[in-house]
Amino acid sequence: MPGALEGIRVLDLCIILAGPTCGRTLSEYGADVIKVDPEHRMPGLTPWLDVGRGKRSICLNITKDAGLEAFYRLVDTSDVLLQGFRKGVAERLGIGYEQLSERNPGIVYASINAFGQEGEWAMRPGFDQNAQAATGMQLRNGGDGQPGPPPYTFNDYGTGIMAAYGVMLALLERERTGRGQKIDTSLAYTASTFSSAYMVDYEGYEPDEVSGPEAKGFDTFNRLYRAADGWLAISADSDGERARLSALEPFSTVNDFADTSALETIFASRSTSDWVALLSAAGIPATANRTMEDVKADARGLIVSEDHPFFGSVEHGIAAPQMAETPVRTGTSPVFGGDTVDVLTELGYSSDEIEAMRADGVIPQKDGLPLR
Amino acid sequence: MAGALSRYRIVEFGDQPAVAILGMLLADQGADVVKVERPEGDPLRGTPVFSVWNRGKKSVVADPRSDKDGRGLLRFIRDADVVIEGFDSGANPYGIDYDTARKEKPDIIHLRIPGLSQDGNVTASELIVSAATGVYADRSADSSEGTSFIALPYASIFGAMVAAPAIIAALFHRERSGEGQSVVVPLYDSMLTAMGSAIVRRPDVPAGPGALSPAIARFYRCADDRWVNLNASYERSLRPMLTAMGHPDWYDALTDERLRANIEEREEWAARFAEVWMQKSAAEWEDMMEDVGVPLTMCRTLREWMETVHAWQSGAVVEIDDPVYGPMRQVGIQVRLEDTPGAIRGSAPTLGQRIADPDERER
Repeated sequence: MPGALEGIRVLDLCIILAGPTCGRTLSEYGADVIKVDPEHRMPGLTPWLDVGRGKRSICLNITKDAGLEAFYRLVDTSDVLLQGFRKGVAERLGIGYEQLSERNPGIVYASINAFGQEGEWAMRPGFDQNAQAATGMQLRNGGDGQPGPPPYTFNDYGTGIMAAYGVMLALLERERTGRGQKIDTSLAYTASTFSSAYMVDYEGYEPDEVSGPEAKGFDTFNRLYRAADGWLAISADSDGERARLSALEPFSTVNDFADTSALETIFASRSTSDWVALLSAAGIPATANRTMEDVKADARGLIVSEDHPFFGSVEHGIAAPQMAETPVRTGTSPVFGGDTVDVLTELGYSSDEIEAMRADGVIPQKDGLPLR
Repeated sequence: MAGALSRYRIVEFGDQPAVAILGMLLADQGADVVKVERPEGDPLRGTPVFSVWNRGKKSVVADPRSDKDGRGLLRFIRDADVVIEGFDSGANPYGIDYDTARKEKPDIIHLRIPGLSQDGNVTASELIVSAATGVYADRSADSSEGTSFIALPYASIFGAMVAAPAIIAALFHRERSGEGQSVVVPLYDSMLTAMGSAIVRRPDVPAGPGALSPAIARFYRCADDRWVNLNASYERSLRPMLTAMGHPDWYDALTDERLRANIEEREEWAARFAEVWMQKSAAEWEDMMEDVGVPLTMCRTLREWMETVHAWQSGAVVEIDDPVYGPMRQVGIQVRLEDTPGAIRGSAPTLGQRIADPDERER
């Protein structure tokens, strides 16, 4: 069955993780995504295997006239453009929204950068770590010592996925109006959304966020405990769950359930698996506190292998949404620059013209370059 | 101008934060979101975060034990485009699943975001999904620090983010084909997307941490005891940074190919860097590096971020009037569409601002 975005073509000019995640997400929903890079801007292989998936890859030097002309011809056949430049850079390259929408009024044009298109930091360059630093995401993990990053790369991937949300909203609107539009999202906006539970202020607000490396949970009933052989998590959020926990035999000696230390002693007496079995049978949410390695070892089809032209078998995750009528696809990663000739040929370039572009350094000498 | 979703109605069920957050993302883009609550109200009522995640929605009270309320809900579904819920399969207390919803509205889009991929006998909350997916795992090199709890609901928010484009893809498909569908996005499964390149396995690279450049993803302490985060290993940042630091002569050694594999030498360079950063305050370094285009950022608290001029100017923080808390600062709109910008449609609803009475409908 075709995906929901079948027939939509996307040009992806983004690098690192957040921007390319947007293109990958659109590809998962069925779009034809063409990654456009200058030859010298080679991505790292590991992120490419993750966020390059489901795309075609071309190398094109758009600072040369013939390269820019080829790019414009691509824009004429496309629905979406994704770019991650600092404010003003795309315009200097001749590929700003005004320039492209004049050629193709239907183009949906997404900007994905560190701090957004508005405000005094719009010109600041930055990676995800910079947006995390600015928004409190790192200090909260450090306690009194060195700050720490969040446990996973939530903000980079979240930003790319939110950009894909914006692109799809604009495509949905375009179905009605026929016109594209400009979209702005940034790593700093996503970090703010992740912080939204505590990013509040009003007259009399008392910040109450539990944070730092010593934090173990919200309260006695929602927290991590050390068992005899490792850590477990319990989440007895409702009155019923708390009552059932209090009624369990091992806790019969506890007088005050607000006293965490009494529960710590009891939890330390049995193994994690014993506790999870006992609590689950009593209808109290509990789990072993696992690591990413545990998740990988127990991935149940959420991690798949792919045959890679240079490396043989590589493993990566799949797209999560299960859609009954328009299934998502996981896709495989392309060879860097491996689709340049095919895409130019589709645009109507003859093989003589393509060889002339090669001779002028508009496209690389070699089709398909190994990454490392 | 109206938001891109201003022609759509969403009905949301469930106490799970992921459902409320997803509803907020949709309401901010113009959707008419109706939140169904039990008579006792959402468990987050009475806490400030309720006012954030439920802004711009309507509230409908329905008692799962009341047949009349159940019939009223079906009328709401008849007027809806999308139903979102956070329950395990078959656990919706009103007994409404994709099949019952489809009977009322043949082209309905029904999206479920359960905690785990497999149904269990208990509902998996944020804390359970996070623990099961390694969010709280010990990250110290020698496993000496033990586990750390993190209060930010990363799994629920990330899961809501993954689900948001799935809904729009389904609406897009419906516009083109007239067909609705059922969509399931477990929080657990979405977490593997957040692990991303960390779960990529390549036969040519041994597992484990590689050597880290002294200039990428590094924290350095400054003269005022504040920290900065530095990401300047690219040539266009490295040269201006070294010049601004007063050490342009370090460039060749830092870009020497052999340094890539030499962890010890990289740490020696990091120590040399650390001495330089101690010469000025974090804010001074940030200003100075901004002038030369180098990505160096002072580590701020969330409160400090909210007070920056940029957070206000960029709309990352906004102020709305809340009936409970008065003028209230909260997160702005995540994605901005220039022609259909969406808007925060109002404060969070009081309980049962709308009631599930079929005769009292607006549309």
